[in-house]
Amino acid sequence: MSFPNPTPRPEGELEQLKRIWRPPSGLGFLTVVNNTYIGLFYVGAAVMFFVLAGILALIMRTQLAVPDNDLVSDGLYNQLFTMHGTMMMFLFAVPAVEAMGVYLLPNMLAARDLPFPRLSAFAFWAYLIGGSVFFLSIFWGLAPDGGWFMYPPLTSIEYSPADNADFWLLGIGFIEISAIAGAIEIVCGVLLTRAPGMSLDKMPVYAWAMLVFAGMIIFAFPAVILATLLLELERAFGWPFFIPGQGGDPLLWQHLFWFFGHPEVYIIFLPAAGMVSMIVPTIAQKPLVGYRLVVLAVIGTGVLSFGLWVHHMFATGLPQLSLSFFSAASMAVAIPSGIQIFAWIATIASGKVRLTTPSLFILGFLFIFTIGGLTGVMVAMVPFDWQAHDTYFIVAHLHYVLIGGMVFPLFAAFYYWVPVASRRALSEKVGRWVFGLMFVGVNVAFFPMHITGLIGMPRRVSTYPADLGWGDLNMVSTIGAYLIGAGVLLFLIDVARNFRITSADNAGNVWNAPTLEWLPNDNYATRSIPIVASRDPLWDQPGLAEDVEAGRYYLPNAPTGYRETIVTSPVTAEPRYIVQIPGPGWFHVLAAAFTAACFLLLTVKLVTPAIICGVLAVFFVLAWAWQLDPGPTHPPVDIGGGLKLPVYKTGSGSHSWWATICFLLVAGTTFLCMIFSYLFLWLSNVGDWPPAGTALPALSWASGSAALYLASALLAWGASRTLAAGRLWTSQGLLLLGALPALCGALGVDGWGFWQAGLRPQDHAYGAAVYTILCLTGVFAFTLAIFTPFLTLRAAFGRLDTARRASFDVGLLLFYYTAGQALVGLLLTHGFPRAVG
Amino acid sequence: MTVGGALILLLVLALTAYALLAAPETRGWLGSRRTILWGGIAFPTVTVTALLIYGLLVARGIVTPAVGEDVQRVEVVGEQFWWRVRYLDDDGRVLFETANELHLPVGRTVELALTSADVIHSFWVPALAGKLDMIPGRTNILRLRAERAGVYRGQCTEFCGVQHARMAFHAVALEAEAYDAWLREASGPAVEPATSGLREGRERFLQLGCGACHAVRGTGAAGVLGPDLTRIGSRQSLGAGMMPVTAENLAAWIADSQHLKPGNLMPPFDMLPDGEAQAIARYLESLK
Amino acid sequence: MTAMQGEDATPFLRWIGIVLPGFLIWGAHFGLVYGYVAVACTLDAGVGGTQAAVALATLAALLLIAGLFWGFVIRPGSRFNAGPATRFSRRLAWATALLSGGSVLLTALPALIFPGCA
Repeated sequence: MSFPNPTPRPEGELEQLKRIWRPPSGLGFLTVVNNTYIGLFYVGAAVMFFVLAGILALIMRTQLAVPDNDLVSDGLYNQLFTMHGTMMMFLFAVPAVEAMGVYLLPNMLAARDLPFPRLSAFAFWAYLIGGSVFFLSIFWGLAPDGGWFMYPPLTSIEYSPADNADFWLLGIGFIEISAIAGAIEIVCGVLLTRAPGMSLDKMPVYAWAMLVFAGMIIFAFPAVILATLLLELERAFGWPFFIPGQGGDPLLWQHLFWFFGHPEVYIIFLPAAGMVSMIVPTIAQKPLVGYRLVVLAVIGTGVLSFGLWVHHMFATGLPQLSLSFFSAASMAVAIPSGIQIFAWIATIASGKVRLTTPSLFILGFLFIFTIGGLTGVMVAMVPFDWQAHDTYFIVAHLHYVLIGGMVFPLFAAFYYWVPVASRRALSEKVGRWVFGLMFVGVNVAFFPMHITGLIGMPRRVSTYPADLGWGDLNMVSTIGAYLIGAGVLLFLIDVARNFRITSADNAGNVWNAPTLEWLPNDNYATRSIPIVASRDPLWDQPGLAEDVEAGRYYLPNAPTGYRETIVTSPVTAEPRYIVQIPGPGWFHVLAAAFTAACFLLLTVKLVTPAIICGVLAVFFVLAWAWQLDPGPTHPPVDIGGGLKLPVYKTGSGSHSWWATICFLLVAGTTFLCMIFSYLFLWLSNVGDWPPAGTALPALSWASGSAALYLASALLAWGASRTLAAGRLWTSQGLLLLGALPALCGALGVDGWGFWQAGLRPQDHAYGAAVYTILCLTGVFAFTLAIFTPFLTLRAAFGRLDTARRASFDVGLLLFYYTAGQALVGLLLTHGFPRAVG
Repeated sequence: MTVGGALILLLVLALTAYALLAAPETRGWLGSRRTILWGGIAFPTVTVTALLIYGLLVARGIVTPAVGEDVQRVEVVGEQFWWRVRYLDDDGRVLFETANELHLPVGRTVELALTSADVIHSFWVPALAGKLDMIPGRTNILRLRAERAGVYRGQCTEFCGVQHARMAFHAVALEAEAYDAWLREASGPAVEPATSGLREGRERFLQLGCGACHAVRGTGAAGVLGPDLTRIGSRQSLGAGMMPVTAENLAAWIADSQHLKPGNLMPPFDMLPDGEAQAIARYLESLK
Repeated sequence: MTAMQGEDATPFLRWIGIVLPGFLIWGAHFGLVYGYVAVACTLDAGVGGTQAAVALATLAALLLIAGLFWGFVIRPGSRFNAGPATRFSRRLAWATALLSGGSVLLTALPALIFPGCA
């Protein structure tokens, strides 16, 4: 076989790679961006929050061990279960699987790093700072106490006047943004930075799972972000979205929350299932049976899970027929889960499994998750759910699903992948005990809860009377909870004894696994980037590890002298260009810190300091963006095999274009959710929309505004054309003095039309909905009002020209999108009431 | 359904054990795509479709009201953290109001109009019917029927705030005659105090302004914020399922209900002189 | 292997085009029937009409899935159907079309049993 690059490699090449990719030391280590470090910190932080939320659970179980207990007060108990649920979902489960993705994906795809390493570092710091302060709120009695689902009107200002609810809304809203940043990173990483030859049909199942996971975050999280925004608008400014007396409807929150909340379960489960699909072939030493079907199952689960949200609202009194649609979808989603479970069983049967610790956790997962899945089918039956809903049966079900479906695979993954990240593997002997304690603990803790629930114990009660006979079962559950705690403690001890972070001299491929993350590694990832010809390259391509390490494959060096990796085409993974990746820096760290500070200060109503932090956050984001978009600094480089690749791309081939599109999908979904909210509120106020006494502005306001929105899009298009023709300053003029004022003017006309007609957002849900639609466009107008002058500044400093226009293209897409969204908004707010009235 | 679920679990476990432990030559057949097609696609498709149809048929039986039946209509309003219960006549007018207790005739359908005065609650008597939410601004209809006389416990199942755990009630199912008798008594005014001590208690009750929040029909007390106390002495519990209605419990509640059930809307009356709370409590306990 | 200098997002969008339309139509169908029932039951208008509406929407969805599948995947010379990942994508397209068609049918099933808004 002929390799792209000859050996021996020139002197000094390896040293250069090492120097370029070396993480900073000392205090500067905070600025590190390598995925191998950020990924590990991220996982570590997630485990920390897992332990903390687990401790909260142990306090609750102690309180519930005996009837009429008064270990904790009712108010504190409510904070405990709210925090336990919120932290496990938002601070542990989602970040943990995202963190594993940040750590594993580049290695598994043989990229040197993710395409936006500072973005993942930003997401990590924002999450760590925001999450920690959020947790600490419990020591001041300020922790949210409305349940992790935060149903209004309990969480409205009237029934929750203190800041507790704001901590949830702002704290979690902000962490959701960090999750979205991570998801965009993962989509771009999986689609654009796979090793040459790793076409979609050769992609590891884990990468598929992470791709679908990230896609689900992009489409599910906007719903909860919007819900959070609406509730905070109601709490802070009295816009009555959820107050029945003023046209609001508490059920709107439930729809939005569960439109996120149900996919959330699969958002957590799919990456874990992806890990299982990686580990099972290794422990069986045979390729995964039914790869295509598993990929189908992953995609199918991702899509179908969006049809389940009312599954959580069976007791709200909706028409039976409506409920049944969701019952049907809940049944349909059982089929992809069945496919995966039988694929794993078939793979196990085709090989010979050694009962190592990862295998044990996989088997435990199969058992626990199957029970959770079956009780899931039971509660998908509407009549059964009317009994089981909001009882301990559901507590049992959801813990079987989430612990079985996520925690056990994650622990299997810890034991399985630690040899990649550490000098020593974890102890097999201790691992068996960890597994045993956790497995027995989970079943002792949660199995009895099925019965406790069926005999009538509701969820979220701080105590229960002795005469109901619930005491013994609760005591058993408490004992089980402590067994789980002991298992986790033992795991932490094992980690402390054996986990030694390294990249260069890791424990190596101890399991004889087939995928690329087991190639020899260092801070620069693999020495050269292999050509992949199989789904299991390390099994099917003999000598791959040595050849990669010797530098015989692509890009064994750093031809531009910066951090770089190969961007390949999304479907067929053919090399397309070399992307220069940013290295360590302070700006994203400071941006994360000030963003977190801004949100947290807003929570406690320190508005002025919050604004100052917000301005600083924007400043550091811009400073960070200033260094991006390097332009074609270097002529095309030879990566081996006669392949000369450009080092810069613009347009729809560029990774920044893909990231922007992902972001616009988030924005578009948010807006769609707002359209849904508008129509939903109409349905609660049929015949009174707009409410009596409120006039619609004349159509001239709408048409004037529409003309200006169109003009802004056209002027932006003109700016793009003139830039392409080399007339930089005409282009800048069109954008800064044409498109931007037209956009702001259009928004002003739009908003003033409603205002002069007498509409106020505080009076009725109708007005609140109209002004929120305007605000969602306003957010983009505001962003562009900052970003357009930023582009002009770049042009002035020679950082923007006909060739170097990736950042200009980002602005262009934003202009187009904003005009489009605003026009749809106009049609809705002016057209719909006229159509139904 | 539970049995079916257990059987499927056993099947999965047995197959896994077989895949793990059987000799390689005998388990080979399991290691192919066929396994997924039959076990992972065909089998769940059939079971799940059958189950869905079965579930839909059961649900249809539950939600379809019987035509022309003589139903008792009751409005139940969830409040933080108790239940306002209003019996309605056939035209939907309020006959009388009570609290934390639902009396129903055995063998007759009772149609409950469920709503809420503040946050979302959920109405559930496990032995009688599934649960249904009480949502402010909406009215949900729950039909239930007790087949045997008895006292059934119910509890709020939607988290509704600090005292969610102590928001229970009792459903008392009575045979037809007993129910009619109860209905007659319950719709009348409160009993007159029989002794001077009880009259004294009523005086203090009215003078202290308890009537600003509570109603005792037949006296001047006509408050609507708190539970109606017209027949508090005959109820199953005090504080929405917390404790039996005794004079001691009532006195303790009056003196400091915030200690017993922190976060309920009743202010503490711990400034009352000695014996006064007891006098009121004895009066209330006599309201049967 | 050569670098594809001019390549943009089109191949990926085409790939999406052959693999995902079934699911997108499932989503549209789901939203449509749910929305229709919600509106009809609130307005007290379409009671009794729900069955016909769901049946119509279901028929349209199934035809659309079949039509798009034929046009994108089976029809000779479809532009959506080229490239090295073809065999894999075609199989995947088959499977997604079947799974989403089945899910559409399953979604429609309740309308057979519940005629109205109870």
